[in-house]
Amino acid sequence: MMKRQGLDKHFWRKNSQLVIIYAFLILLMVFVSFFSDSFFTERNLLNQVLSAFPLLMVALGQTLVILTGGIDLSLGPIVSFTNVLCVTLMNTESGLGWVPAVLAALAAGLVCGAFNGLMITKGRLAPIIVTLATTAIYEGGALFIMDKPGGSVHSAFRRFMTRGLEGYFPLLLFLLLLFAVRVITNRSAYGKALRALGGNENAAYSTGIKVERVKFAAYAMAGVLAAVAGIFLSARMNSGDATVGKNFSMNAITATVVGGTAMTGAVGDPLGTIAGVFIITIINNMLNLFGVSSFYQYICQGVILIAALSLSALRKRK
Amino acid sequence: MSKEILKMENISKAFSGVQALNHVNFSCEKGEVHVLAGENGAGKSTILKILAGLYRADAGEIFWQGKRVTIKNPQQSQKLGIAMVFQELTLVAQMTVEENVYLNAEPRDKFGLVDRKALRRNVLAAMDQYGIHVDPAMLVGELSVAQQQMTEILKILVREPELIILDEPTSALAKQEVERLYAIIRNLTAMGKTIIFISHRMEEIFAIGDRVTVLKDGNYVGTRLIREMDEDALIRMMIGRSLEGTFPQKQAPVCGETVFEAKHLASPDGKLKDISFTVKKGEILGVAGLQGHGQSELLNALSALYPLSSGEVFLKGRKLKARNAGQAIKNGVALVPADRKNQGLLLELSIRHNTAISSLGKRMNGGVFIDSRKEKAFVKDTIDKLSIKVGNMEHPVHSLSGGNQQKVVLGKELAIDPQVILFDEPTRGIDVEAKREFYVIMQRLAAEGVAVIMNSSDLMEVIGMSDRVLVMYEGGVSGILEKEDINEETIMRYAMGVGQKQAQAGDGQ
Amino acid sequence: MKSKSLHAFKVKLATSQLMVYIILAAVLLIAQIASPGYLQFNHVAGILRLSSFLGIAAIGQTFAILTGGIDLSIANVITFANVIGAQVMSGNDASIPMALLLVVCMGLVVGIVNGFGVKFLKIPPFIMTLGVGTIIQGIFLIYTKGAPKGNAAPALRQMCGQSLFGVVSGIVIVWLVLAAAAIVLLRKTPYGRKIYAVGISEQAASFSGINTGAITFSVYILSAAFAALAGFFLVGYTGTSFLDVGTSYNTSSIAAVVIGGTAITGGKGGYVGTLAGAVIMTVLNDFLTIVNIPEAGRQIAQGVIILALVLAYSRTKKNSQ
Repeated sequence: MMKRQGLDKHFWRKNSQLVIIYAFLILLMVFVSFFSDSFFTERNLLNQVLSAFPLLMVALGQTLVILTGGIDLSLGPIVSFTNVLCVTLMNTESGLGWVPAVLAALAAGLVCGAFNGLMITKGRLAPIIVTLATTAIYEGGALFIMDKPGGSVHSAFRRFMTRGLEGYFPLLLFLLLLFAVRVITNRSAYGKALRALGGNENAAYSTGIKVERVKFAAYAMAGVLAAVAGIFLSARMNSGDATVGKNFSMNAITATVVGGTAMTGAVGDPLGTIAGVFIITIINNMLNLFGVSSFYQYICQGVILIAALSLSALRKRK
Repeated sequence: MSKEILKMENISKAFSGVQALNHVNFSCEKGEVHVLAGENGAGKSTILKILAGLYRADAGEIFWQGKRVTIKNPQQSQKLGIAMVFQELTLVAQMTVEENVYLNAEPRDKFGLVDRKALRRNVLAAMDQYGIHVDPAMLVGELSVAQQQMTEILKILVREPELIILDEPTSALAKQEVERLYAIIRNLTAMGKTIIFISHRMEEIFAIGDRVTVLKDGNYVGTRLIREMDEDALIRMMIGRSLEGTFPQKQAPVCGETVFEAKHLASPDGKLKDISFTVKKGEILGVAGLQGHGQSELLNALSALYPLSSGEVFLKGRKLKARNAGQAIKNGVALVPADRKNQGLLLELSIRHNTAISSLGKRMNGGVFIDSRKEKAFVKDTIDKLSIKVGNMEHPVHSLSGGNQQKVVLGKELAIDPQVILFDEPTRGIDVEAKREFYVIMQRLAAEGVAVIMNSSDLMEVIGMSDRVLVMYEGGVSGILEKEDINEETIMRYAMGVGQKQAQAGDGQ
Repeated sequence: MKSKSLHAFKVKLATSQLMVYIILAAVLLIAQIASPGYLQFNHVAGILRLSSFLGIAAIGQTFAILTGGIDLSIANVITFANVIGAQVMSGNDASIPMALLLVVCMGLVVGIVNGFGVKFLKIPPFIMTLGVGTIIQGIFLIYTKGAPKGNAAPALRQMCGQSLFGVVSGIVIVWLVLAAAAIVLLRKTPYGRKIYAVGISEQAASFSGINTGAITFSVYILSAAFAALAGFFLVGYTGTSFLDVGTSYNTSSIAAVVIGGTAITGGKGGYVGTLAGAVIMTVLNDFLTIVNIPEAGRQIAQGVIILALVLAYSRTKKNSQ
């Protein structure tokens, strides 16, 4: 009996953050539905996923990195870079023209993320410095490939990515990747290692965890997820833009933090992160709906970020 | 006799030019408890870290079960069956006990993922087997230090190592826990496991050790059977001097005048409850108690480094007010903190900057700038006065040995001309010679009329140094002992919360 | 023996801020060889003038990084200061004091908010300042409605223009005075010592009686104030204000600091190195522009050089251990 209670207490302690964040998300959705009759329609919800999809990917990647106690400021530029790369390499004439482009973009994301990881692990540099520097490099790279927005993608590819499987493709792809990331963070031995080194790197090292390899993989995976975002954006916008990823690094950090992941590492859940993403996108959409100037979105974003961090600091103090 | 499981031959290692180990030999036999002894800086931790794969030897050979091996990283060491319980724990505070115990050794299910049911099952089984009981679902960060230590030991044991290295494992443990640890160790050796044990506590070495190897200044001194030795002989091997006269004579008698007084101190978190005491002129007040009963919190609170919800502090009848450590220092309250590396020193800064940091305002030029000449003279003076062994005062303070580092902390605190000085575990991890020097300084300070308060988990130190002993139990004062009451048994009784009743019963008779 | 002293010299180089001056000399030399006439007096004066804005902004960044923090709001503080400055002075000398006052006040407010978040709410500095930076961006966008107005007063323009005293521009002198003050502050005052102490270990610093909260708080105020000053003077340089005038300053100020040998983890380094770091960053950008490298290439080069230099520093340090 005692034992049971004990376990339930642990359950609440472990999951209270998630419950709160989802309760907030649902309240927000209910609130929005008062102003927009069509909010809880299947079509609109699919659209929500469609519009949030790229940020979802980047935020999942950012969560992996933040769990290690690191940070990746270059994920946005990787989105831009892979976006323009994908569009540039796409041959709109041939039926299979999109395959090499997509593969190349994924590979590019992997390389960019791996480069970050390499500098941080083998180079023993602070993540913030490395990714600040690679931000310049990847942004420059994107501009180099395409200095003004343009191009177009294969139309079958565009249709499938955004409206495939009767409009369910983005949702299914998202759920698949979410499932994969969450298995990695919460169920696999790798996930334990990831959190362990985020919590106490020396402890992880002396427990025999291959700290460098684990960290490296987190940055590499984040790069790939950013590439998925870049590819998806190329389909959704039907063009490439070297500045498309500009706000993604910051937004992904905000979503991760709002979703309850600790900036200091070890504690967090991808499920929280995606709630964070939806909260942000719904608030932004709401501001649009009310006709608020997009300038206010910046203020809103900053306030949400700081408020979320303040709340978690207050919770900790208690 | 039994079979040799480990042999390390001619091991040498240097750190930035300083020879930490010089052709050291060390070997263990299967099933023994082998104590590694020596002053701090003798090279004990270094040789064990080489064995654990955290450092690589510059020269020398390691033989494991008769075969020559190279150990490049912790993984290789663990694969051989060598496990080390570190002084600094290797637990992740944000993860649960069970996750920590099986970190990097998680049971897997058929998909290759962590099998959480098996994890819980294995942890509970291991806990039963070794008699270590901690709630497996608790976060390690929420455990007491002793529970963390036991979790750490469990984490090592489930990896079923052949050889277990314990580096000062009992420093955070209470008496019963130490006994339990002994039982675990005996159980392990009976199973044929080998233990290497580092300890600074004599009674421990003799209670649990089979053989002892002594190192001195990175050199191999010798290996002996413990049952053929006594404490004095062991100390002579370590330093070439006997235990006699470790604690210096008092320099001045205690007189009746009260220098320092605390009344009804309590902290908002309940770690300190209604604490009152006085310190008389010329007196050293010892603070004793089991680990985690509020001793460090009390000293920190007197320095305004721990929050108080009520209570008053008086110095020579004047009420002190301090909202932060800076104000406490201005009031003349100095603290030599327990954790030298994290609290006492700015490790990467120079010896000069460290010595000067708490009294910068005293050596100003025109009230705005630091006068470098005065500062250098002051630091040199401190180095001479405390006989700190220093090559160059501009070198980082982490280049010094433990004892000399601790002297820098003391010099920094003495520079504020304290009227009250609080020593928290002042001699933890420093060698015997430096300890003695510390004791002399404490006596001198007391004789000069400074109120000296010393918390130590080393009972012999408390007994040897204190005029009176304040014993703490669960955040409160369970007794203030004087004269012949200052002995191991009485202190322990009060520290375990049974003193008061018996004392009252005694009064009644 | 000889190799040992060489090694000791290498270590000293890596740990002191001297290295960056050697790099600076090398960079200038390369520029002179690749583009003869690069080191002409006028051109060097121009480089210094351009460096002074980054140099001033990097003063506060040096302080923040020395405490183990970082300030990512300065890019937007610079832009906001620039916008306010131009709009308030509107080409009128008499309005300069008012503009300066408002700009500095804005800097102080931002600094207080940053400091509050870092100290009291215990939010990691980079994310707090990133959040505040975003808010400021929103504020100046709303303030200008996306189209900044106003222009520089003639006096400010003259001061930030070419060679006020026939030798160097007035802004360079302002920079050097502020730089000297920063160096003395860090090296010779208790405040400076305390900044280093906090950067090495906040816990040990507070056990040494340092009010670590006050130190942390103060560096963010200084950082935002110096960024505001830089943004204000930039009005004199550009004549009018732009909404992206500050954008590059987050990266370039941090680059100047770390290239200058200050450890990103805090407690080691100082402004002497940052000074050279600021010049290196400016020369780099200027030189690449001269040899017709497009924006994309300059960005890539900037990133690569930051990485290469920090990597080189950390390698030498590691070998020395």
